This record gives sequence, structure tokens and C-alpha cells, in this order.
Amino acid sequence: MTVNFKVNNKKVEIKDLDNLSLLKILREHLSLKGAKCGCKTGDCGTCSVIIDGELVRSCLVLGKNLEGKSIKTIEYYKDEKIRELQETFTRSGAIQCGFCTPGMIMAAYSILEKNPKPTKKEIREGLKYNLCRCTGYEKIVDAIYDASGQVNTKKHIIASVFKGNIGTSKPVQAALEKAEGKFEYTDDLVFNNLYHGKILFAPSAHGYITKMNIEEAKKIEGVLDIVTCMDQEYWSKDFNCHITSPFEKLVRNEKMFNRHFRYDGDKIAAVVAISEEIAQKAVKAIEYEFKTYPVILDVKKAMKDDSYPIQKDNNIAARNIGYEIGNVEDAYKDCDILFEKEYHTQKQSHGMMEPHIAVANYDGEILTLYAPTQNVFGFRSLMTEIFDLPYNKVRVIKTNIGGAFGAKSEVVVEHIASLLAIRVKGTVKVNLSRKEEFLCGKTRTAIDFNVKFGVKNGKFKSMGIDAVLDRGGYYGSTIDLCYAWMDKVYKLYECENIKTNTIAIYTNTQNSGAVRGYGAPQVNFARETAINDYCRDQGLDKIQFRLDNLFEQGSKDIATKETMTSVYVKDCLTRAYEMIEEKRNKWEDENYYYGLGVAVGVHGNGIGLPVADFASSSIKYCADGSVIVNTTVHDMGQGSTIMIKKIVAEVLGIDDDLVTVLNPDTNSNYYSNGAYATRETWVNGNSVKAAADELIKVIINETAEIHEKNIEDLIYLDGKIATKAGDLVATAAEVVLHRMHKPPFKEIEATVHFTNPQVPGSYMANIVISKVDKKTGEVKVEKLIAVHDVGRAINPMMLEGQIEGGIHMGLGFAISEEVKYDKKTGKLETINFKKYKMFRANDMPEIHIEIVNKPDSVGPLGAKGVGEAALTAVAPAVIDSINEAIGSNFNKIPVLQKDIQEFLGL
Amino acid sequence: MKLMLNMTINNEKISVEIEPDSRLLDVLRDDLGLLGTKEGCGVGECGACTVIIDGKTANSCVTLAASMEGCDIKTIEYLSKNGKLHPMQKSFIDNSALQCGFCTPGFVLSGVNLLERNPNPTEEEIKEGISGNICRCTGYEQIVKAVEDVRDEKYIKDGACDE
Ligand code: FES
Ligand code: FES
Ligand code: FES
Ligand code: FES
Repeated sequence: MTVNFKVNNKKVEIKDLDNLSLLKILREHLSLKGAKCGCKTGDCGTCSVIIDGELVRSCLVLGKNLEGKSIKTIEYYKDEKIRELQETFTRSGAIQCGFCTPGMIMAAYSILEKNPKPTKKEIREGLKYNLCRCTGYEKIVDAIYDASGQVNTKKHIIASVFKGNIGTSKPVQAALEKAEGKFEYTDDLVFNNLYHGKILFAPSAHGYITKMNIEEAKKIEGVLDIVTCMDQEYWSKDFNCHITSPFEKLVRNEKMFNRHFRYDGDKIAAVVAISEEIAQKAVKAIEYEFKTYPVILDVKKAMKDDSYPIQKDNNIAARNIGYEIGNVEDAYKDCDILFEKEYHTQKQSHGMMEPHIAVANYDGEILTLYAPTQNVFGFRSLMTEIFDLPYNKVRVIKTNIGGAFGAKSEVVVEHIASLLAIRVKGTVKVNLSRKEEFLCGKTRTAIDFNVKFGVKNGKFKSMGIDAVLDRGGYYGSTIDLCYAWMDKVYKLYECENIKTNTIAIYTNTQNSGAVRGYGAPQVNFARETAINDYCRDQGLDKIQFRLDNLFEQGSKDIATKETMTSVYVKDCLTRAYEMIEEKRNKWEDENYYYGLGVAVGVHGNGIGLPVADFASSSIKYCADGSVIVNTTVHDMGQGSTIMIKKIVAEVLGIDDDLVTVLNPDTNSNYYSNGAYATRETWVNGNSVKAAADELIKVIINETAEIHEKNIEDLIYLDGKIATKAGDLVATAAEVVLHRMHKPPFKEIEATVHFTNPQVPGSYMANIVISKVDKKTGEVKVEKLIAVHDVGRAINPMMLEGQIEGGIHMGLGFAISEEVKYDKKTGKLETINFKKYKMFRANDMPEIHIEIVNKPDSVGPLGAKGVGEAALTAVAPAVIDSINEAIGSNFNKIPVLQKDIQEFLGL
Repeated sequence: MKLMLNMTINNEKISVEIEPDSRLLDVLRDDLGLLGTKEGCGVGECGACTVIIDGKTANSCVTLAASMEGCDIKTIEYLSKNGKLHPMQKSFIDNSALQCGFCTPGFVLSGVNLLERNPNPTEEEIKEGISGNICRCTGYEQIVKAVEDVRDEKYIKDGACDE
């Protein structure tokens, strides 16, 4: 059968469509790769195109139904409206990772076609089929509003501007390419002689494979190799997916394929074949038998001595991790009032629009891994360990990332792609479907907290927080998470006696890993909700109580006793309260209950000692005055490339367009830990700042030598070297040129190795107004105020974008997102975006963001990081607003409509 | 209008839809993904695009694909098909008969073909046999030596090539 249709006004004729979707036809047959595949089930909108004027999700349209149709895609640059949207998206900061962008622009196109002057509300309605995990939709709505020619009166954060680079807004790197659909993610790249890998997942949540037969599967034509959990080979050794250096003495209790499988996303075999379809067919043809073990989903059950051991001896991954400052129990005796309550947070998925994907090549000597990773050096370490290869035989190259949020900092498919590539001595791609992503991707650690504190004269006197962590089936990053959540307990409220304690438990659930916030959103929910509950119990003003107890400038980290480099959390809270008109905790009208919720919070910057947390950076001045920066930042849409450019440009006094930053590649880049722990601004930013300062010294030295001047008499300013008296001696470019073309022939560069000196706090306050429908129990978050203390803003637009995106994730954490299981079988239920509910554009509240514009004393040019701080205080503020509105005492998230109905007796 | 072309490539029967004016080189590289065959000049002068057609070497850049109906074609990929190297490839490596390597697939095939036609060529005959291929890196010395080593059976056929 032949089908004729038009794509972007060009005639297309396609034969033998089988059951191909339009998305596949566009991407694979017509090489139009602007439309992305975020789910294949119609739930995400990344594949959106226009057919005969109607917005459709191309993954749902069969090619055979296209006869006579006319299709418009993001590549249709001749359409002026598409072009204009591409430009407004770019300049409004509506683009972060960019994976949703082509679909969003097609949706925007359709909105404006139907309604050239839409209200913002109408725009949000029109975007409801398109998910974005990065932006919180704010700037996408702005971009569409701008393109409609209406005047946008929205206020943006005001930042102080230095020479012109710091404090001025700039879109993310490659924003226009992303808007045009030209930015190539891993699945868009072309590899020659590419093979495809597919994974066989465990048949249930807990059990043991007794037999496996791969003979039939092997016979399928096009199958090249099959590796399984039954093999006794080098790939059956234990590893830890979180290892970032061979010196890490972490527990290794996971295999690539696990015969004893511990959750239903565990992998038991993989096939490599000449096509994805054949690989999938072979996966299905693998025969096996298994016995089941008891499924334990609940940490309380798992902790019991007689519980079935998920790992070797028992289900305790770690216990008694914690530290005490002062004497908590003694101090309780001296308090006026004691408060104690339990709190619970759930497992949350990253939900990045681009699922895990990796392409590996093995040429018989060198393993090259192309992956959208947040940590090239960490992945290299792990591959060298697993495959017993020397470092110089493993090369990891970061590809463009379609969102990560921690997901891509631990290996999920990268080692499988590598193994298959080694087996066939070729190039292998492993690309997860959305369902597979939910199955084997990691989740945020669910934590049960017990929060206890004692207050004397209105001030905290003593505080103890205990936590039970649900880590899923394997050790992974258990110990890191323990310290990550505990660290935040010592950095926010003054209190002489504090202790923390952690137990980490194995369960038959998805393995817990790094998810934006990494322990902070959990403990912050527990502590802040406890404070709100306490204030309600005692009839106290929750703002004043906080102001009486919060850290302030000069406060010391309670655990390390180091003075915090900057703390303006009180300013955040005071300002947030000023910004809200409604100055009461609760009210109601005929249809709704209203509540005002408050929370503050802290997140760290960098990993901190004793872990090696450093970044080397080298900057080279080119002979035309442009510079090349060798530092390893993993841009995933959060804007780290531009951040580095701006810092270097500011120090050197040149335009940021003259700065190039290398893409992470273990063969060429200087070392840095990955893009996690909000460390890139703090650690890499400081590292390049130091390198730029050093470069100035080098160039002054060289100038002095060439022009026979005294070093002390020379100054460097904006790319020029002059005498202190003000006479121009040379431009930097001239000095470089001179050195490269006359003896002693050298390049002008500077390298520094910067170690994180201390972990400061990024602080914030959130105030939320929610309304609860009296009849249905539905919650609508109406307004959200976020005031952040992130030091000096380097790139205000991206800073805002990060906060908006964090708010989106925090709102889901509070009232909609939860990884859920069938209670009996342990089977994952949330396997698509219909069941795993993330906020859509029309669910978002009105958002107002400000920053406290005060520089940090150690941060690069006064900046601190914001990536994870963005969501830290959202959930407790939202839950507080609900508790205020209806008089409930919810201590468990997410709070869903059914919980509210139950509470209200609806 | 497209043509259906049937031929045997590296012992596999292949049907491929081609434009009537396609060159064999393009069909190999673009349609079949056999990238070992290189284009160095496009006008039949350099031999980088050498393949073996029905037992004879030919420049695939000046061969019309449409004329290949029913032909038996062997490319460089054929030699190392089972993951093992052909003696000629091994010898090229051991003799440093390759530098940049762009001409190498063509030379290897010319060498293999020469020995098939004439198992005991003299040095002169070897030079003559590879004269259709140009190399800008090696000065040919080591290439000739590589072919001689195979001629002298310094390499045992280890089943790399299933002939
Ligand atoms: S890929 Fe089509 S809606 Fe997600
Ligand atoms: S920018 Fe929307 S998903 Fe990343
Ligand atoms: S490319 Fe065919 S002879 Fe040069
Ligand atoms: S090895 Fe370079 S052209 Fe022959």
C-alpha cells in the first residue's frame, strides 16, 4: 500500500507502512527529528505536529491514515508564525532542556491559529496535552503571550548588574536550535552500522530465576547476542550504580542482571539485534521459570527480624547513621513545651521528558559511551570497574540532555549498552520506552520521619529528627542520602542541641537514587510541617515563630561550627509575607475553603568534605581575544554553560559570546564531579573564576616581559593591558599573538584546581494560597510566592526558570505525584503519565518570584546555586495551606483529592 | 522512477531499490551502509573505491549500479566477516602498510585479488597488480612487502575468509 501526503508543503509518498506511527515516519523515514518521543502513548505531547490545521500527537497517528493530509512540523521554517514562536520561546527563557520545545511550539501555533489574542488562562488550557518538566510552564505561557502581540506586564526578578555580564539575562545555550528542532538528542544522532539492545525485566517484584532458555530467541534472524542473569561471566560481578571513583568503599550488591530479582524493574537479560523490533521479539522469546519470594513494600515490615531478606542477611542497608550536637535528651527536660509527630514522604519520579538512552561503541580496544549523563567521570569510573578496562580505554562523551534532575547521574542503561557493544564489537543503542523508564529508573527516597523538638521561651532548645529511608532493592547512594538529608537539619534554625539518626531499609520497590533535592525536600517537608503544626496547636504566629528562630547573617553551621558564608532567610520570609495581600491564615466563601501556607528551607551547595569535591579549570586566551574554557559542567537545560561563560566574561571584561566552554568528554576535559548537589555554580563557577583571575596574572607577566615594564605598573582591564597611569600597552590578543609567533613560542593559559572549601546554604521562603472545593475536595493552588537567597543572580532569566521548574516539581511532590504499587504483587502501577500525574500548564498557580539581592562572600562573584533549592520549601507550604483551609493535620504526602474527601466526609 | 536491483554482496543475496543513475559506490555506502569502500576521486583514478565484481577488481565509482543485476560483489567487509582478519589485512598491519588508512581497503582487495589470479607474483607483478591504486602516505614499499608476505605464506589462513 502506498500513502501520499504532504509534509511541510512537500509531497511525500511512503510504501509498506506496516503499522508505523506518523512519529516514526517523520523521524526515521523523512529524517525530520524535531518531533520527539517522550512516551509513545499520547501522554506527553513532545511529538506534537499539525495535521490539516489540528494539533495532534504524532505517536498516536498511523501512517496509513494520512492519505491526502497536509502536515506541518517544527521544521517548517517558511511559516512565519512558527518562526516567530521560535524566537519568542528563545528570548523569553521558555526553553531549558528543550526536549518538549518543538511540541510546545506546535501546540502554541495551534492555540494562536484558533485564537490570535488568547488570555494566559486560554493559553494554559491549550497546552494541557504537553508536559514540560523543566520550566514550570511560566515562561512558555509568556512566550506565547508575547507572540500574540499582547503586552505582558509580568514582573521579573531584579538583579544587580556588574560590568554587563553578571545580572543580565541570556537564554540557555543553543536555545534557538532547540526551538527549531535542530538540537540533536541522543536518539536523533546518526550512527553507522548501529545495533539495538533491549532488556528483559523481572517477571514480578521479588523472586529467583530457576531456569532460562535462550535457544529459541537466539534463532531469530537478526539476533546477534543474548546476555542473561544465568551467565557466570565478568558481567555477573557485583557493582554499585552510584560509584563515582574506584576509591569509594560503597557496598556493592547489584548485578547487571539479577537472578535474585528484587523489584519488577530489575533486569534479567538483554538482547542485541540488528533492529529494535527484532531485539524486542527476541526478548519476548526468552523462556524462563522462576520462584517467587515474599514481596515487602513497607519499611516497617522489612525492618522486622523475621522479615524475608531482600539482600544477604537482613533488610537493613545502614543503621545508626547520625550525629548529636549538645545533649538532646537532657535539654528536652529543660523545655517549656515538647512537640513530637511522624511525617512521611513518598517515592517521586524524575519525569524528565527524555527517557534514559545510551549508545556505546567498542572497537576492540576502546569503549566509547555516548550518553546524556550528568557525570562523565563517574560513568567512566564505573565502566572501568565493571569491564576491567584501564581509564584510557574508556571514553565517556556527554550528549545533549533532554532533562535529567538526578536521573542521569547514576547508570541505568549505560552499562548494558556498553556490555552489548563489547560483545558484538560494534555500536549499540539502548533506548528506554516510557514504561521501561518508570520500571527501571530510580526514584526519590521515601522517608518516614519522627520529628521531636522542645521549645523554651519561644526558641528551639532541643531537636531530634529520626528517619527511616526506603531505598528499594539495592544499596546505591544510601550513605550519601543519609548525610544529605541530615546536613540540612543543622543549617536553618538556631538550636544548641540537635541530633539526627537514620536507618536505611531495603524493600521490593524501585531503587532509590538522586532526585533533585536529594533528601532536602523530604526533611524540609517534615520539619516545616512540624513547625506549622506546632504553631497551630499553640496558637502562635507561624511567621513570627520562624523569625525568632531562623539563622541570620553570621550564624554558624551547627554541626561544623563554620560561619555560614551568607544567610538571608529572614529577609526571604519577611519579603514573601510583604508580597502577599491576604494576611490571614484561613477564610472561606460559598464554594471554597482558603488557606495560607508558609515554609522556609535550605539547600546546600556542593558535596562538602570528606568527599573529594573539586573542579579543575583551564582557560586559554586565543590570538583574537576570544577564550576557550576547559571545565566540566553538564548542561542539561539548567544553564550551566551560560553561567560559566558569564563568570569568565565578567572577570576578563569581555563579551560572553567570546567564551567557549568545552562539552564534557573524559578524553579532553579537566576533572570535576558531576552535575549534582547544586555544585556547578558553586564549585565550577568558583573554579573558572579563579582560573580567569590567574589568567590575568599570566597575561600581565607576559606583557611586562615583552614590553619591558614592571609588573607592578601594569593593570589588566577588559581585554587590554595598560600602565597604572592609563597608557595602553597592548591588547590581550596582541600579547597572545606575540607569544605564539615569536620566541619563546607559547600559549597564554592558566589552570587551577579548585576544591570546595565549605557547603553554604541557599535559602528560600514560600508562601502559598490554596483553595479547596467544598463539594469535590479538589485542591487548587492559587498563588505561590517564592523569595530566594541565592546570592547574586548571574543570569536572572535562567534563575527564574529554575525556580519555576522547581516549583512545578514541588507542587507534584505535595499533591499529585506518587510512585505506586499493587499492594499484593508489588507490581508498579504508575507506568505512564496518565497514572503518574505531573502538573500540566493549566494546573499551575500564579507565581511571584523575587530574590534577596545580597552577594555571598565566597560564591563566584557572590553567587550561590539554586537548582535544588528551587523545590525545597514548596511541598510544606502547600500542605500547610490545605491544613489551614480545612483544619486537617495531614502529615503524609502526597495529599490527594481522595484524602481530602475522606477528611471532609464527602 | 526507481529500479529494483538484485545482486550478491559478500555472499548475501540483496535486493535494493535504486535510482537508475546511481553509482555502485553510492549504493554500497548510502543504501547498504558498507562504509569500508571509500571515494577518493570519483573518476576512476585512485582505486580507493575498489571492489571485486565477479572475481575482478573494479572501481565502484565508475560502475553503474544498474548494470550489476545478478553480479557477485565483494567488499572489504567480506574479508573480516567473522570478526577475524584476513591474512592480507593482518600483513598490512604488521608491515605498516597503512598510515592514514584511506587507501587501504582498496589496496587489500587488489592484493587479495592479485594472489587469487596469480598465487606467485614477482615483485614487478605485484607492483603492476596494485598500480590501479594510489597511496599518498606510504610510498608503496611496505604495501608491496605486505603482499609478498602473504604470497610467501607467512600467514596461515585461519578461516578468516571462508574461501
Ligand atoms: S510521544 Fe507522543 S505524546 Fe508522548
Ligand atoms: S524544557 Fe520542557 S521538558 Fe525540558
Ligand atoms: S574513487 Fe573510484 S577510483 Fe577514485
Ligand atoms: S595510507 Fe594514506 S593514502 Fe595510503
